[in-house]
Amino acid sequence: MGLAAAVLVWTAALSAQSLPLMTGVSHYTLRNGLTVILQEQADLPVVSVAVGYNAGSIHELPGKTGVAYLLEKLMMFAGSANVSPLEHISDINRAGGTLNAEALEDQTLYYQTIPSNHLAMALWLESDRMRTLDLSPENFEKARTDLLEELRNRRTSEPFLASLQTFDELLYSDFSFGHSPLGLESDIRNLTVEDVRAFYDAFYVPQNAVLCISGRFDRVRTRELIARYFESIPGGKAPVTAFEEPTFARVPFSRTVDDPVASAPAVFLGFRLAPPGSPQYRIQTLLDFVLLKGRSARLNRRLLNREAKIAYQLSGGIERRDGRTVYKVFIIASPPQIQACEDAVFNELDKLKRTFLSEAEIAKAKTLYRQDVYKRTATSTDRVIFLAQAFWMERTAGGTLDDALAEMDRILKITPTEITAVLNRYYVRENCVVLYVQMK
Amino acid sequence: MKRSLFRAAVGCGAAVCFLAAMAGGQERFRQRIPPPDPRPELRLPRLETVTLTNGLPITVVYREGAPMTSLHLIFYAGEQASPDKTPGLATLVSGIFGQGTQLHSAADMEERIESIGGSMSVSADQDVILFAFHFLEEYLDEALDLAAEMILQPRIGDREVKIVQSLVSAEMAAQERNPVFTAHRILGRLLFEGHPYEKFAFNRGAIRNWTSRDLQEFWDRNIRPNNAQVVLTGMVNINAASRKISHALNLWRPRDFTPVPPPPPRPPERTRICFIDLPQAGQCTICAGTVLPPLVPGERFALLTLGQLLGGSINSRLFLNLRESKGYAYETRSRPEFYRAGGAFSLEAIVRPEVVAASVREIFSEIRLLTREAASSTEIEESKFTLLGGFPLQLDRFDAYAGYVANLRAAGEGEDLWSRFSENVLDVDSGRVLQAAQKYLSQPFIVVIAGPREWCREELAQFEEVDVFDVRGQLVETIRK
Repeated sequence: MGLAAAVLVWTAALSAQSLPLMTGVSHYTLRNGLTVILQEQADLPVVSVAVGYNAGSIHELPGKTGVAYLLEKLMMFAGSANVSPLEHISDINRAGGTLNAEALEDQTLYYQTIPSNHLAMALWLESDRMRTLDLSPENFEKARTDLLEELRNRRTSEPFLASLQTFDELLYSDFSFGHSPLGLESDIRNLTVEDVRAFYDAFYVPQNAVLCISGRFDRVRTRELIARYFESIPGGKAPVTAFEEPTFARVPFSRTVDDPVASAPAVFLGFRLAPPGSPQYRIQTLLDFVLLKGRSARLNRRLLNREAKIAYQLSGGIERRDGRTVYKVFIIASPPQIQACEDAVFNELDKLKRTFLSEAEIAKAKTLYRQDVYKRTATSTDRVIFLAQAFWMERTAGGTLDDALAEMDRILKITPTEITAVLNRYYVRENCVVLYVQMK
Repeated sequence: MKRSLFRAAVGCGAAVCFLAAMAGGQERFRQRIPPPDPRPELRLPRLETVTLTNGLPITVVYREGAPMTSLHLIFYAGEQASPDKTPGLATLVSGIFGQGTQLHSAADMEERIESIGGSMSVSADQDVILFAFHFLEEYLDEALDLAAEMILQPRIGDREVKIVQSLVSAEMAAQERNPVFTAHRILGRLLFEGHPYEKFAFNRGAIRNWTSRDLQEFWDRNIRPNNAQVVLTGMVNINAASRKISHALNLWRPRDFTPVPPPPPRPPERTRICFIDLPQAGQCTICAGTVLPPLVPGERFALLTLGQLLGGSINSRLFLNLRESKGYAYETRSRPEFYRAGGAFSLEAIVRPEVVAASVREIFSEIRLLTREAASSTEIEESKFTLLGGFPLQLDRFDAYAGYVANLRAAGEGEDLWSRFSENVLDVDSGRVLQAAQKYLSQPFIVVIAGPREWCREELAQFEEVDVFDVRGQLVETIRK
């Protein structure tokens, strides 16, 4: 058995306050390179299993956009050597479980939650589709037709989807990071089953995957099951994807676009920030709770104030794609108020730069941040997603899972002075891309 | 020599075994889905209850390790308690909780709530107004003070009423573009026509009638400790909880009244097909339902099994028929809903516009089949299996105990759906499911179709009679074959 080769590593002891729902985490690597993360929670007889692949739209080549998302659909519905189409969903549902998948820009996650006594089934199903996805021409055509239909429906009905894609192209500026995970219709029409197979063979391999389990399970038996179902899958090679870091001129940049399905005028603001893993990244995370997260956050108060509301809608936050981070703010407002909204954002940022945050405000931001982390780790499903994402984020940044789990402790120690320094460096007009959206 | 022959024989045998095991180029265990282990025991904490001297009942559910505490307050004053001339008043009351208090503005209250890592939501349904408040576990005292201030010193004025009116109106206008919302609202109205539950399906027109005086009267009459219930979950025990709640709400005075439960609803007199034109919708949403009168013991679990069997998952009859066999539908579902007085059994299918009539025929054929033939014991066991497996999943979130138990209390339920859930499901057999189907699914159904009329004109012409409604629920015309 491969257990002998796998060295179990317990994560560093964490303070009970920081991640109370994320205790009992251990991880190890199988001989074929598959990373396994286990998190025991004995509360209810429920267990979640997630497999995260470091594969997303940023790994697509020009002319082949949409392949990552198409593959996600095939993984969900097509079946594999021993599993017929839809059987994966059907088996999980029959056990009373739920499942889903998420195709992000830099990774794709597959996850299910089932009663604990069905853990072997979930591992068996996941290993079968990791090993032998059924990429028959029929399955491929069906998935492609579904994807094209989804694309058409969303482009004609989802307000601001087209303008968001333009905004991403401007903000990220290069093909890999800037193109939409939905893909281009012309590219999808030209994709072949061989394109999908090549992507699957390159990225859906143990060397490029992490398996996370959270909930009530027997550790020894679970490790035996993992070895049984996953260890004989050929490891493949971890794909080498070195992205060139673009350099940006620090000058204000703005553009205007027409959006055929926009329901009102809008403006996107985007700041390019420090990468994940850096001390500034943590400050940026906390700053999000000062600016946007929560009804009493500064920008919400300023733009959506009951007494002097100037925006219809405000949203945004930190967005991370592989090693890059941006801060997005999206505002929908009436035509005369768009400029006022943009000015209000910069005015609030200027105020923050001029005066240190009060103890009360920074304490509230930290409290809200804690609440947010607890909510993001509330269920076993949440925890496997959290673990898979944290694993890839830290790996990209050159860190470890321990670093990811200790992130909260570090964020809770941030001081007002550190926040001001980050604001002055990153949250300035010279580092901001602005896209105005007009109704067509 | 003998020994080496023996070794060779063993070697050949092993090779044969290995080849057999690798039939098809894979290990044998890959060919068959592994069976489940024995069902694990589900041990839920006890529902501990106590009633304060002002008549406020408290239920506490201890949850070890929960980093957040959840406080739910149930006021038995849902839309059924709204006066007939002002339907929707319970919804207005739920909106008033977010408008500040006599001591603090709405913005100040938001600030105080977020300072304890809190979030709050208040909603009204047929039976209750549900106030749900989640906060970091170390702030129980502060949270109770905030809740007490909102309950005891609400800010009720014309200005606040106007704000809530515009918020509810805007939300409803947005929802009316959603075919599922629109179809269910009309279904609810037609199913409970003449019953107090009909008021839950109020429309935007009703919002204009609300006044701060109506609101104050409703509040004074209904927001009382002896017409409410607290459910608290987290790392707190019943003694500490009752002491703290009593301290925070000791000024809350009961009212001398006997709550009158709503009368049992009556099933529809005839099956009706209704239509709502939603030109922008790409598909047609079919919602169909009938009324459930108050149930006799055991029927609830037979109906839950029936809902699962008919449309609970992708292994259910509606999905297999409408999607897998006929290719008509994108999604299907069915389920019973239980209120304090009876409930409803409803189903839903999202189908292609050109097959609406055929889909309705198939739905009724599935319903008829359930009332005529007992489902096989395999099918019943599979449905029960799904219900049993899904139950702990519903409770997995650290604040889910509170939501689940609050819903039980709202519907007047207790341990049957908590600690005895599994035993009750296991007691169901095909005979009881058939009996429930014959008793309730043989009743007339109301069918509401929401979709683009332009695309399904010929389909609608296949029905004997179709009542056409606008999105607000006004009857526009009746088309006959």
